Amino acid sequence: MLRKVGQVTVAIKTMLNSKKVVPYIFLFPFIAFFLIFRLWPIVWSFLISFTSYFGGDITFIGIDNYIELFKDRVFWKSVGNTFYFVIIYNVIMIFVAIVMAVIVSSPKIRGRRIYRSIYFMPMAMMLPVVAIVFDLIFAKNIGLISSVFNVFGAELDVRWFGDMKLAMWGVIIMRVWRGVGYYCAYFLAGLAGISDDVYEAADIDGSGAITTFFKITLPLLKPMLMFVVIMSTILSFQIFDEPWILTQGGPANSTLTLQMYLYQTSFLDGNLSKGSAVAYIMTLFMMFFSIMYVKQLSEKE
Amino acid sequence: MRRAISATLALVMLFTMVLAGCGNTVDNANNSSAQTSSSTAGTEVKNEKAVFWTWLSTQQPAIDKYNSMQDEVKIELVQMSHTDIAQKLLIALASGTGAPDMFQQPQRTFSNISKTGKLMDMTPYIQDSINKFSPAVTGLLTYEGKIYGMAPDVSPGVIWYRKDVFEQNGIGEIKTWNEFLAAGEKLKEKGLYIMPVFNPAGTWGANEIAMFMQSRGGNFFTEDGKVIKNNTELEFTLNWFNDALKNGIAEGLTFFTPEFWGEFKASKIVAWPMNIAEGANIKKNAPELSGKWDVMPFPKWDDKTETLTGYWGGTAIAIPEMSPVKEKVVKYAQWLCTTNEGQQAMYTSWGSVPSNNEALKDSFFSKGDEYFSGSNPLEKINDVKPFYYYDFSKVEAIVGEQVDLMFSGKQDAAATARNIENSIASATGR
Repeated sequence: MLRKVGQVTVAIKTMLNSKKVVPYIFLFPFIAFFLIFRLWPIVWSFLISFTSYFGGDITFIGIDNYIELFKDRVFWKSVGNTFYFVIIYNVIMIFVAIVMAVIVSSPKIRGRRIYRSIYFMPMAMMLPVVAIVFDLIFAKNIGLISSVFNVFGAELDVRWFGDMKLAMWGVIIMRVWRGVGYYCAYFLAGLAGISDDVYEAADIDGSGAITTFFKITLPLLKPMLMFVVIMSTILSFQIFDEPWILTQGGPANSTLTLQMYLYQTSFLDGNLSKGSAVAYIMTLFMMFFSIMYVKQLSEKE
Repeated sequence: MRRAISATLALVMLFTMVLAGCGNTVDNANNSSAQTSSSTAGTEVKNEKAVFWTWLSTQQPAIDKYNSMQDEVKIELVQMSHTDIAQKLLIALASGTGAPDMFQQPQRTFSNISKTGKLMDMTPYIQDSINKFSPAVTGLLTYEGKIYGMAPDVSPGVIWYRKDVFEQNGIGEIKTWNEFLAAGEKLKEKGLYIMPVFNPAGTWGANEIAMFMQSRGGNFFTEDGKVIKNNTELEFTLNWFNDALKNGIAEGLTFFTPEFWGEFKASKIVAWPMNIAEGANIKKNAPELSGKWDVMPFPKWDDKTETLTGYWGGTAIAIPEMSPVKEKVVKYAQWLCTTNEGQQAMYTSWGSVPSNNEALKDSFFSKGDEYFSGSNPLEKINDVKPFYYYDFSKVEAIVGEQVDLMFSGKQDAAATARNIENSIASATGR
């Protein structure tokens, strides 16, 4: 008996000292967590997108959820709104972030560190607080914008978040205000990586500020630019919090985004399977954009 | 040796993980429940903890009272918005873990949860008191013949108004909605609004339309759940709101924003036909106007014979089937909804109208409110006709969108009504 126990102990010791086994023992907790908490929900939500599932019994219905979505006018409205937001927001945000980064990184600007901190501050603010402040800025009677017009004797009879044409712009302005400092930090890091020698050479060659920016700064900033574009596009596809707090998708669904449509379908209507189908369509959109960007980036490189 | 120790540690971690994963299924099925007092083998477990999800944090005094009355269960209130509750609850019910022991939801969207089939059947606990409740209310909580929720309250419409401003402008008792509009015209000349109108509409707008339509005896659906086509009551209600906004007697605002309450505090909005629960909101947001506000019943529609009101809705309390203390917490719902004492605790806590018609007859509910010039809002409630809430989260979204289009001038009330009917029929298959 004792001999057998001894043999088992030796076998375990041998196994624990084996280079073939030990790495997998170390990796197992991560792999288990990854499979259970990452991969399985993705697979499971994909599977239930082909079923009718309200949290109770599951019935297989094939691609009916997808067909229903493609026939739904509100779904396409949310797709249109999301693309509109993603394009307009990213163009404005990236332009402003680059300009701000270039200005702040210039040695001619005094107090650059203070500006960097100020730019980053909106990110640190709680979203509900920001939403209340922006609601006040855009309000008709007590709003800051209306007050400015009043100072000049003009009356701005507009309630931004009640106007179908302006509501999304209100959301975009708020999101740009919040996000620009964050992406500005990326561009500052990118600018720091550009050698001063390049600028000195350009200076000796008589290059002006604008030529230097377009011929030197921007091309050398391209890897960081592509990274920011991909990150920002993926994140902006998931826009939810700002319009949900400010407008709840209104007026007339003019600020309803895909993520909000997903939320409404899954958790307000209780249709978890249709919500999963929306999630997968969103994923396809994001993958398409990401692959497109990455491909373009690798071609340029 | 070092590698062996490290590998052993990794194995121990793994073993712990496996143990955690294979723990007691009852505990896992409901991580919210736990004993708070020790018990010995063979004796009854006392004072078990039960978690209650609700957005009404003002319910705490009612819970405290119930906790002090018995030692079977200790209820703990966890506050979150009702949309958060719906979201978390659906996931918890679907996954079989993480649900509370009890939760509260609006009655109008309760069917989204009851149709999961994962709630406790409360029929035996309310059967003896069923006649105390309006069938319109219990109907909302019934699914396939079983009652899955109990309603502690309802929230009918009344008109909150500034008594001082009405008196200054020679506006007396308003008996019909045409008189209300005429009063609005009079106030408009002074730059005052007789009501706020939801703009954008969203769920609030949709529910106000529903409340007004109910006060006309109207509905979106027939009793058996079919969409009413060529709905004249819907068209009338939409037209009424559209005219009020276009004529400038109502002010279009996003409800409950700082701007919204600013208009109340600045005495620009001097009346509000709204549900009774908003009285507490007016008091909270404009305490300096105490004694200046009053309340009157919904007036009669000029083309109708009965004077009715509409419900904003009300709340429902339900229990997930998976709760290990369901037999104990159901007694709280039973006490709160079916007994006079419970209904009084509800009214004292969150000031809504008792759903229990027997309890409402108690003299306890006849007290006046100083804020509303000594009037008792509960005495201003008209009768109500049943309203059928089928797939109401979809209805809210559709009505909200179409009303916004109407307010922006893209379509008239008739086209809005037809679009609403067709969209609801298409989205719900009813």
